[in-house]
Amino acid sequence: MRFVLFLYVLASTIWSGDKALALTPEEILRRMDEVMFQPGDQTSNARMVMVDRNGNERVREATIWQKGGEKRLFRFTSPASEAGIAFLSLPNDLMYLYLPAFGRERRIAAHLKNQNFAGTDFTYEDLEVRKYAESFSGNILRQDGNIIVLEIRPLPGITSEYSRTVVTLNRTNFLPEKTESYDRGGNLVKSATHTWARQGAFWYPQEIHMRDVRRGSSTRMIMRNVRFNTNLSDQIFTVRNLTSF
Amino acid sequence: MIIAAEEPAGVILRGELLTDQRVFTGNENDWAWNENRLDLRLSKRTDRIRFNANVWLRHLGVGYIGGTHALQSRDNIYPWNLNIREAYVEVRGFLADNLDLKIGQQLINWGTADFFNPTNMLNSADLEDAMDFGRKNGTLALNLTWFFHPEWSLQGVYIPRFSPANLPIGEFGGMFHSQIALPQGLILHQYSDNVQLPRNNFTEGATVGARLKGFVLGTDISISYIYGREQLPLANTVFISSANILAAPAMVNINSNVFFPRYHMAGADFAGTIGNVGVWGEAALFFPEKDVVLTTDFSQLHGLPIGTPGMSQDSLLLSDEPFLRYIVGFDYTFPNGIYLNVQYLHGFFHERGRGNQNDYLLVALERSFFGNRLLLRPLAGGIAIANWDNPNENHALFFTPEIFYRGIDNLELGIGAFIFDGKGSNIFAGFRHLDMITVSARMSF
Repeated sequence: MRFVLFLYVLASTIWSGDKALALTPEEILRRMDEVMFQPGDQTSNARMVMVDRNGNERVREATIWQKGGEKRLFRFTSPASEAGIAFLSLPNDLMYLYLPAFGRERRIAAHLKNQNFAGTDFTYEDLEVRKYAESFSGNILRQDGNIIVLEIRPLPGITSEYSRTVVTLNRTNFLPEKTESYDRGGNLVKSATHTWARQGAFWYPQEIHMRDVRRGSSTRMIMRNVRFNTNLSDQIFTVRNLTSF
Repeated sequence: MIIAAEEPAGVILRGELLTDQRVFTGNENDWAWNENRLDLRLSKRTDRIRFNANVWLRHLGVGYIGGTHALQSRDNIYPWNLNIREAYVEVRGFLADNLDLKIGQQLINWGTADFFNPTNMLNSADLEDAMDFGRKNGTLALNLTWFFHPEWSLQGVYIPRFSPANLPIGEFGGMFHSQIALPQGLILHQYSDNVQLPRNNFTEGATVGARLKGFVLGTDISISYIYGREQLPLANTVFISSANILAAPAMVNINSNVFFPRYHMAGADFAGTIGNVGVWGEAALFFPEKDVVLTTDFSQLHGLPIGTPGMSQDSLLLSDEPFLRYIVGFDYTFPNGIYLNVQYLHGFFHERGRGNQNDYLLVALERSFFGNRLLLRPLAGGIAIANWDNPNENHALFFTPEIFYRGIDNLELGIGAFIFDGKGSNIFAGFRHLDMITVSARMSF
């Protein structure tokens, strides 16, 4: 009887493993979205440590508000010369930049998405919030133990400065641990490692270490004081609020 | 109800310390500009109410010592001034969730073009620094914005009191002065004028504006209307009187009355992208309320042939025909990070009346290096054409390269130049002997 039970457990395990193996790239992308955008909203404080190719370090502080997988507001709080600079990401590829010195918002044209935001190694596109399943097609390159290596490319109609991105994700939670992005010439331009933490029922990126391969610089974005589901109003994610600093 | 994005806090004090020094390359390297500015920004916010103020405390210019008695005053030696740029209260969700109110001294955003906004005639122009075109003065205003749709808003502004533009100081002080053509054989001895400000009540001095702003087909657009007054005065009467008729040529005094005529303005603007290029445009169509007729009175020219009592001459200074000012521009960032901004402007804000608008091509090219630590703007400036029939004799060139070092947080050091050339009577051509080198330092806190 115990032998029969053992066979049953073994068969179940193999079957469930096969099921995970059998996930299509689209299903994997959907799983990623489900985990990453599980909270209805979140607010966090970010510390950005920028290191140039010579090892010189600069620090920025920011507050980030996010609602679902569609809206994000990012506003620098320090140093004083940068305080108030803000970036708003909205659905349909809409992005706005606010520079307090000019006192007005400016829409970010598609071609500027590959520009670094305020001297960091994150481009506007990197900071844009968008769901993977709705923006990319995938192709599984490799599966090894708990690791899935997925190549994603922008879907037709999606503007991206990256021709493809190789995402290494953990099969246990479907969270990306590493991303490598390539330009249209096929050259590696960005590499990021993600360290995830769990708070209650939700995962969040405790640290994202973004490296700009061409510049030889890097930025570590460290999240602190993360709050989930505080019922953020849609009004926060408006140009009206963006320009109010 | 609106939920504030930022946490309520105590009084927030931000600001910067700026020193801006300019020296003429000619004129025996006289000092062209000396400004040391403490720029303070105060804000206090609660969930729905925000108070904002911006104050400049400045040591500006060089002292004027009219005699030894003037040395007894530090203010003569170290001239300074206090300028309340803005002081207003903003109520978000005033009367209704989607209605915002701003009341007090404020700068009002109007138009979408980059820096030069032909439709923005609400705030008076601050021309004090002739090299800082586009700077505006804060204006006492009641400013209501109704966000009636996620992508549309309607704004109404009421400015109860008229404020004229303040004119440039220093070597550039005369750049907006009108030329007065005297009859042959006469030269000017003394000039004086009387400024007729509109009556200081709720109607005569008031300016009103409305703006509908929205987002259509990936493009930010707005249309606007303003009923206001010209910010630079126009003369309506000139009295010419004898000063010394025995001199050859005879010398005369001129006294004129100047005023600020009314106009209606209809404006439209847009900002969007075409392919990978950012584009914008803004146009303002002005409808002067009345013809401005200049009456030149020669009746006080006793002893001269044209000095017949009662004799005067009328000339049309500003027709009530509508005239247009506009700007179109584009910007593009090349893959290597070089940023290019090009604008074509038809009509500076002081160029009034149909056919009196000059054309300006403005270009800026910049690139950051070393992680934004160094900003180079090697190509910045423009070309002005005052008369397309004879551009060789009616043009101006201005070149304003700059380098900024931002290697230390909160500190910016700059060095640059203002280089002018040109021919004819347009204002920039008049600067051709006023090339400058500039050095600045800015510290934020």
